[in-house]
This record gives sequence, structure tokens and C-alpha cells, in this order.
Amino acid sequence: MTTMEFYPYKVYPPKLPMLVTPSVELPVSSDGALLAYRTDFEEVTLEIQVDIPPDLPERVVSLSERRRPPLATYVVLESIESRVRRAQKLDGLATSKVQIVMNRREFRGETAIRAVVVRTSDGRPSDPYAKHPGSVVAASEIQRVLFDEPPFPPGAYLEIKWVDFGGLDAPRWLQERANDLLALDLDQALPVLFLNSGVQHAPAILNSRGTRGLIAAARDSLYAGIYQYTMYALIDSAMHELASRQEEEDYDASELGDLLPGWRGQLLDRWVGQLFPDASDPVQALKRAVVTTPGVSELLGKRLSRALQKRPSTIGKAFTSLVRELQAEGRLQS
Amino acid sequence: MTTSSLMRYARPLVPAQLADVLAGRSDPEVEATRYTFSLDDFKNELASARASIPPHSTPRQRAFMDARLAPHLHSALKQLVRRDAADMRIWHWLCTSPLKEFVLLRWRGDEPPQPYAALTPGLVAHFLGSATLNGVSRNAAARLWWCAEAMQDADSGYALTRQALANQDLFVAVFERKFGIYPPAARAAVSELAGKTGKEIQAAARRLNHFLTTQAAEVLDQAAISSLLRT
Repeated sequence: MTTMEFYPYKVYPPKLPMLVTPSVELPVSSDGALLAYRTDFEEVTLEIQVDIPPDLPERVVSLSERRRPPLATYVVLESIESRVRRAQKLDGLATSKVQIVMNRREFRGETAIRAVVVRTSDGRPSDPYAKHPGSVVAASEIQRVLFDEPPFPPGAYLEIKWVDFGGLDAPRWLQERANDLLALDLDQALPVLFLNSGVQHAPAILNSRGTRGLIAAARDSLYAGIYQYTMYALIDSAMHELASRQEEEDYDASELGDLLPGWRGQLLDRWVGQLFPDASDPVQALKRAVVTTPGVSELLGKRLSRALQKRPSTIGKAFTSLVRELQAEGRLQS
Repeated sequence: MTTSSLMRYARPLVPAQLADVLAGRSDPEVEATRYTFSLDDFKNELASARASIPPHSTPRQRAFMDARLAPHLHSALKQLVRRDAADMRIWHWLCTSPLKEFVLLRWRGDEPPQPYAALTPGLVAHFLGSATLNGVSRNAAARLWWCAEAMQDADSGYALTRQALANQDLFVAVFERKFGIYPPAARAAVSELAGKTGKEIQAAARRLNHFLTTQAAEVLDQAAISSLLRT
């Protein structure tokens, strides 16, 4: 759906140009977010310049209103984690600037900032233009500011690629397993899960979008299996990497993220509480377990499999749904 | 007055840990915050509210406890800055430690001798929760503090807070939606919808949410949002 289709009135489709300049030097992530959490500044002031295109009013208000368009420009801040929503008004409808002061004591996690042009008074109901005060008629892209390192979202430590393992273009190591459904490459900066598009019906089933029926149940079961296999392999790899650091001087004192930079540290940090729910210090318990053979056996054989099965929508749920569908199809007795 | 250090878990608790923590079989690492607090007033009010819990009551019928206790909890923790109040590790610690009795009375109606054996997924959410709209509004203590923080003002004190929390339908309709974190919208919704039926509240909140898909709530004041609710 395009912006034009979403709004039930005429809007200005291009994004408003918004320039955000921090008063202090802030690191920027690859997707443009300002990383305030990597600095010690108590307060960050952002100078925000918004350029209103001269043709905007004629696109979003009626002819009779264009001499003095009932429009105003605001910069809007929104952060669910900080439970903050607020706006600051800019002067006029041309190029204008505003300063936004963000104090670390007020913010947690991510804050989204965007400029909007809104209608300021009631319009005529018969017009195809916005009619209500506050109606957004133009908006900028969102600028994100992070006051905390984002939690690791599921899937962010994994790239997924469909490849015909038996195809001539496939890497040699994948060609050697032409009949496998999946393969993992853990040697990249971000691990890659390869799914074999050469397996008959695999893409159709795994990419199916239905929520009911045998195909959906088969897909969920397949995903559950892939999920378990993949998580097991990723965590196993991270644990081995952690064990290899045991000789380091500050092994006991270091945070997981410092010992294992990259996805392995973040993955273990995310899972350690579930692997050792009974330990008063799960990180130390993990560090101790990974350096002994019985510890690793217990971790992989009991703790990890139990933790994986507690994840929602994995094996138990998918299996139940598959059984239900098979019973409905008469292929399995109740 | 008894004052204590306000603590937080070093890591947010996960549901799988909760039973062991409540049973005393697990003692996850905690760390002190820079705050001290006193729950004396809260505990006195809880003792009084406890006497008013009807036998075999439902959580919905026990919403009056939230309305009575929220001002006391907010006052006890009024020095919290928003960044810290948004840290769920503090609320996890409060709910599993000094406020455990309150969580059980409010959401179970009694204090079972083995609370860890009585845990249901719903009850777990009232002890824990993440920093989402839903997570905060389910955590038994965070919901009170944030509601009071958004609703109290110099004119009416905690009157709107009590109104919002006394009606479970109203609280959920407002504070599990994004407009609920914009105080003028939350105040408008509670003022306009208190006294309506559950269905009327749901319908009005849905309608307001719908308006706010194209209108920027942040540029509207309480009066403007009230008039949207009346349309």
C-alpha cells in the first residue's frame, strides 16, 4: 500500500527533507541510527532542520485556503520503551529549525523522531483534503536515537538464503550435500542458513502463507525442526568459542560480550538465563560448564534441549498442530 | 519509617526462572539502584484493602486494590526518573520480593503457601513482563506507577489514576494502546469513558486508535482528543 492509498485524503507523497545535527559527536549505525548509548553524554541536543517544499500547500489544502494554509510543522518524538510521546512546533512553513534536548534520565531504548506537517483547523467535509486538526499531510523519514544497545532480535544473528545445492552455481561444499534440506555456514560475520531450493516442494511449503491445513502444519513442523537444529548449532558453536577463551586472564571477570564479540556473545547473553534458570549467576555457571566435558554434555544434552523446547511455536506446538491436521485428514487415528 | 534500598535484578527474569525464585530455590544476582524507598504506607493500605477482598472474587472485582494502592506506590517511588522507571528489572525485583504478597492478593485473591506451585501463564505476566505496552500494563506494580505518573496532576491529584485503575476494561483499553503513553490522550480517554460499559469503552478506544492512524496525537491537546472521543 502506498502512502497515497493509506490516507483517506490528499497528502504530499515525497518524504519531507529533515536534517538532524547532534550538538555532540554521536556514533551512527549502518542504518543511520544515532547511538547515544556509546557515549557518556548526560544530555544530547539535536538541531533539526525541516525544509518544507514550496509546492506542498497546493497539494494538501483546498484552493480557497492556499493563501494562508492551515498547516503547521512539528517534530514528533516517540519511544514506547521510555513511554514518551511529544511534539515540538517549528516556525512557519518554509525552512525552519528546532532544538530537541534529550536527557538520558528520560529515555530508554529507542526513540523515533520525525517531522510532520499537520492540518491545524477543521476543513470542509466535501473537500478531498484532510479535514481534521492534527491530520498528517506530509512526513519525513524516521530518525532513530538509541539510548541503550538494542536487544538482539530473533533472526538478527542469521542470514537466510535459498540456494539449489545441486546447481552449478552453488558453492562446492553445498554441491556435496545436494540432497540435504539445509546447511549452515558459521564462518561469516553473520552466520548464513542455506535452504535447498532443489528439494522438491521445499520452497512451496516453507514459503506458504496459509494458517490452516496440512501444508501449514507441515511448514510449521518443518520450521520447528529447522529452528531447533539451527539454534542448537549456533549455541554449540558459541559455547565452543567461549571454552576456547578459558585461558584468557580475565575469563572469570569478563562479560560475555567482551569475551565473545559479535553474534556468539550476543546469542549466549540472550540464552544464558534460560540455560541456567536455577543459577544465581547464570553467566558464571555457563563459563564453568563449557570448560569441562561433563559440563558440556549436560549443557547440550539436557539444558539446551529443554530450553529450546520451552520456546513458543517450536516443536511441541508445531507437532500438536501437525497431529491435529493429520487427524482431520483421516490419516491418523484420534 | 522503614526505608530500604531499591534493587533490581542484574538481568530481567524470564518466566522459566520465576517458580524457582518464588520458591527460594534460585537467587538471581541483584544490584542496588541509587534510590531508597519506604513501602510503609503502601503496606498499611494493602492490609486495609486485603480485608475488603470479597471471597471467591475475580481479578476484575479486585481492581479496587489497584485504585487504592497506586497513589501509595507512586508516592513511595516518586523520585524514580523515567529511564529507571522504564527498567523492567526494577519491577521484576519489586514484584518477586517486597510486593510479592500484593501481586498474589491482587491477581489470585489469596496467598497460597507455595506460590510457585500456583503459577499460571497469566500470573507469571503479573510478576514479570517486558518493556512493551502489554508487558508494562500486565506487571502488577509497573502498571500502577506508570498510570499514576501519566494521570496525576496538581489540580486533581490522583483522582484520574483511581478512575483509570478501578475499571479493568478502561485501564486495558487505554494503557495497552499507544495513545495511552501520551498523557493528554490517556487523561481524555479516562475522563470521557469512565462510567461506560466495557463494550462502549472498547468501541470508543478502537475508534480513537483509528483516528490516530492519520492524526498525530502529539500535536493534539486533551480537549481535542476528548472531542474525537465524542464523535
